Amino acid sequence: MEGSQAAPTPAEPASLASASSPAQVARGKLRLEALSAFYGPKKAIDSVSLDFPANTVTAIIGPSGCGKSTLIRCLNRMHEVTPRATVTGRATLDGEDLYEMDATAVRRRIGMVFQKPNPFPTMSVYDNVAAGLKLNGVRNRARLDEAVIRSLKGAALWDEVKENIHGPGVRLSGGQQQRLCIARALAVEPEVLLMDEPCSALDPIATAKIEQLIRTLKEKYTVIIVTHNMQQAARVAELTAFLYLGKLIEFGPTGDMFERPKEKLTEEYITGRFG
Amino acid sequence: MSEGMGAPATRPIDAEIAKLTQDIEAMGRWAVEMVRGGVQAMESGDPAIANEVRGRDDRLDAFDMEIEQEAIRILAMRQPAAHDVRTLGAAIKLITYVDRIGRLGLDIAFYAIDDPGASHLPPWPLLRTMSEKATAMVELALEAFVHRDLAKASRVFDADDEVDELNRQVLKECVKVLDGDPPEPRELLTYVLVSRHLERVADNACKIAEKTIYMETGKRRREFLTPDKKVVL
Ligand SMILES: Nc1ncnc2c1ncn2[C@@H]1O[C@H](COP(=O)(O)OP(=O)(O)O)[C@@H](O)[C@H]1O
Ligand SMILES: [Mg+2]
Repeated sequence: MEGSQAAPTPAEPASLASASSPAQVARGKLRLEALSAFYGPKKAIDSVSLDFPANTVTAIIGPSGCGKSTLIRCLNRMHEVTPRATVTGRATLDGEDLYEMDATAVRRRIGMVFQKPNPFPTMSVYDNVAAGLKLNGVRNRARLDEAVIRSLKGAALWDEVKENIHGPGVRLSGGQQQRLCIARALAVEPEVLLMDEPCSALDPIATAKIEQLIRTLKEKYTVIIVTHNMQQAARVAELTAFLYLGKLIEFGPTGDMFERPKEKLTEEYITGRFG
Repeated sequence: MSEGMGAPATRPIDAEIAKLTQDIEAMGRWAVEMVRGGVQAMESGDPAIANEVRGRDDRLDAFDMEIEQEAIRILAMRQPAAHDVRTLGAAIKLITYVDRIGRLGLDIAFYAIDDPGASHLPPWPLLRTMSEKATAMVELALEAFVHRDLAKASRVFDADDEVDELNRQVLKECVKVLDGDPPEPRELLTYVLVSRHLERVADNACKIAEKTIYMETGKRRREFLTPDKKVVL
């Protein structure tokens, strides 16, 4: 790790092991142990320990500036791209330390979708989806075709674009562009999909489509979604983590969190007592 | 590190829940009067009192419908969570219990109409005591709900044991009198029914207290039971 501070003693990650029977609880696909993140001297994430189970949608909620984006950017090694940004603690994917792996390999296994749809502006729908594969050296046309179609289907966009797959990606509507970005992320066959407020620029209908898609994506992927919309967390996520001032305040089944949160801070946040 | 939480927000839902709570309190008083009225009608044999209780039924229904409607509207509009959603869930359940309490009073009023002289046999004072205790339980449970007072909620369960005991005593006394082949067995059967009704009033008070516990703590009553079945909050 590149952290300037000594790594804290790893804490046992918050997981559901205490909440349900051990048989039901697989060890987290992605596991954080006392993960802290800094911008220069400023601590943005404060010793977060957390298990993200496989084939589950986990939502990360919390007020603006609490560190949601920073946290998920640590998960695919994007945080370190910011100058003077550092990480301490451990993050593992299937037990393997993310920070001992090659960063490019991490980003292939852990894909990311951003807040604003960001298709490559000069590229066609096809090329947008194929971009990641080409970057990884795939040149075989048949393989690319297969991956593009599979990814567009996986992102629930195929039916809407199949007639015009070589048209420009930026001609699509906002919601379609976001699904195009999801297809692009799926093309390289990641294991984990990170989404940072993926619907915040979309209207309710486009949002509903993405949410529907997220619920199906978990069959194949481990999904982690940052959202400032609590109802969205309630609609898509089985698990929810509440972050405040860089700390993990509460983590558990979404239903429990919304009906009977354990922590007063969580209660105050989800009932809109502060904002 | 991050923006603070800032000043506490004023939330429309607070005023709405406060109003809903007041309405439930009013409905509760209305229903308790129906039980008291029913028992008084029996004791006095005065048909005017029995009719007064019968006249309360429509308003009881209206309370039930209006409060349910408002609770559903708040759920739909505010998408409440945590204590708020538990309060609305409790409210919707509570009005059913309160409605039942009122209807039990109404039934007792009908017995009074059918049997105007039904309060001169020896077990009657037990029924009067039961009525006092059961209605006091309803009032206590509603206070617990309105003031979110767990100590009051737990006292409701203690009182329930006393009402159950009185119910058993009434049955025993009635059986004793019936064994002597009395001239008016019908009156004693009415006592048994009224006793059963009052015991149900007390049960509904317990349900109100239970919902209050869940509303306040997010935990069920059984999670607070001691080995000797006392509720310790
Ligand atoms: N590039 C950066 N340089 C310095 N501080 C940053 C940078 N990005 C974010 N921060 C700070 O880190 C904290 C967490 O930010 P962020 O992860 O974006 O929060 P969220 O996504 O929950 O709104 C905030 O206080 C923010 O100002
Ligand atoms: Mg963010």
